[in-house]
Amino acid sequence: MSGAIIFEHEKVGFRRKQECGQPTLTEVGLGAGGHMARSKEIEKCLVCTNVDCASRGSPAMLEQLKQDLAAVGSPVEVKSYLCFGACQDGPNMVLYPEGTWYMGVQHSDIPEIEQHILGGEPVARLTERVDPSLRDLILEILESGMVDI
Amino acid sequence: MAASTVEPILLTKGPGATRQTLAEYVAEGGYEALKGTLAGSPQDVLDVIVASGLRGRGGAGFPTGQKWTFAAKEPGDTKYVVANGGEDEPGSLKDRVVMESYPHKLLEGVILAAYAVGAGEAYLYVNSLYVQALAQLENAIVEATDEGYLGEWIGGSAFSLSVKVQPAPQEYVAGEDTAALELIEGKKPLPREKPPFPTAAGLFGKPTAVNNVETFAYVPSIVRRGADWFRGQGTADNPGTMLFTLPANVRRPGVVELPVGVPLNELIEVHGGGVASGKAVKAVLPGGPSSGFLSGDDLDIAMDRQPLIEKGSALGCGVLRIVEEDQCIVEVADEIAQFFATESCGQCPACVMETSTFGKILGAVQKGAGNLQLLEQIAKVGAFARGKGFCSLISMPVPPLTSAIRLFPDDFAYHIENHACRYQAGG
Repeated sequence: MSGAIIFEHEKVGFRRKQECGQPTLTEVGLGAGGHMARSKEIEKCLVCTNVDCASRGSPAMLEQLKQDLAAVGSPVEVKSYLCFGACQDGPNMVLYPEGTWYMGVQHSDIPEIEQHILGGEPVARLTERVDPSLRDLILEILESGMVDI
Repeated sequence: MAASTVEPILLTKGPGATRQTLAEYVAEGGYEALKGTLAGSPQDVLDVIVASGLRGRGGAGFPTGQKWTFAAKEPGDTKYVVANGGEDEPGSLKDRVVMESYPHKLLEGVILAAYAVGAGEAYLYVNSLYVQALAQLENAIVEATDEGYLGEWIGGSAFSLSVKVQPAPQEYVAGEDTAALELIEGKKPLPREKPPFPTAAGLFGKPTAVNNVETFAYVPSIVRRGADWFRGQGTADNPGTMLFTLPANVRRPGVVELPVGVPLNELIEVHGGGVASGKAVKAVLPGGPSSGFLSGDDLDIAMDRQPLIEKGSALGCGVLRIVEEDQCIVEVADEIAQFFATESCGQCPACVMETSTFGKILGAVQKGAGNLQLLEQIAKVGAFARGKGFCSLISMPVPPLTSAIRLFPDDFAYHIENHACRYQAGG
């Protein structure tokens, strides 16, 4: 039996935000020491890197989040996740165990998401299309131990 | 244990036979059905196939006559017939045997189907690994055309038919009926959203009867000898005989033809010669990797749709997998989970999530990680995903995985609690 069918997804290139002229965490005032209390509620930022989300640039977003959060000493772990079941609306990210699900994330949204992770407000426009029943299922799977394997 | 009485319909040359030649096929009544049919009407063929109760042998078990009637009733002059010999079900060899050894039975069945539904073109969709089958079918098409069974004005009637062979890729979803249609149309072999079903809008958007290779091969005998004769074997719900593929760990592996409803233990012990190692049967997957496990205590079950459904399993395409007493069910379940995670084509988000989640969970438990609560998520994820895919692959991993956990909880618990397998040295 051969492997899975490989799609010829459009290759989308994403530049790092600095290259796009976007502000860094330090520039928006959330450098080292800029965490707010709510950052304790988010332990992991799970980024889907399955086929569809990856084709829309999620691996570059994951690396950006990792790099930026590490640079400011955030304890939040940025991890790749296999699939949240909403490929058509990806890239998808879930903040665990806090529960925010970001859908249709663009690379330009990363600074705002980082602000949320570090204690700011959630980015409301990226949460509006989430299916509540799917979100509850995914959080239950994660809480059952999926997040640790 | 006594063997069931069987009058072979397909494997008439007996086990291990070489290809049935055109002359041999004609000698046993081959192409008589076609000659008789051309004197009647397409409705006559539909009537006898409906009355026979023949069900599709590809796995779904849909009534063949009903499917053909749907296609026949659709308006329009352009219709198609497709014989699905993709045979990507792991371990299954029965379509290969039909195509390699009995190519004219398949071909006459396809011709009769085309006549019944009003099709002028037919395709034989053949797994590209089956080099012999591809060659035998091409040869059979030439022979049948030379004899006037194919081509224009067949037998002097107004019925014309051309048949083409289409090699099929070796991918699991490529064996799905609408994926086959996509490939024949020159596209990637990916399942289509249904409805519309192929009988209404199939190949090139036209009404199409797609059936498994084995299903077509019964048709000439049914048309020639009648529905009552066919119903003389098998069960009332699922008449006739069926091809079963016996796995490598019995003494006589291979393809056998037996009446539908043959007891599973007869299939294994009498026709397969029993487990080659002499070990006890721990579990059986009676219908391929998408059927639920049966425990070794349930081997007296009849190999038929309804009894197997009632046990949470499936007849599928009759390919058996036997798990022996010293094999770990976690290992088999993990293999199944990884198979579906790999073979999901990626079109349907719920399927990608479900199959990748199952693969991750089973992979972890197999390695001694995870927990029982995580295993409980399999049924919940399966329930969420049900009906959310274009094809049936989305529902396939759930029966084997949930039945494995239900029937053999100790195997899973041992992996999780001891981080090792109880059946392996040091486990």
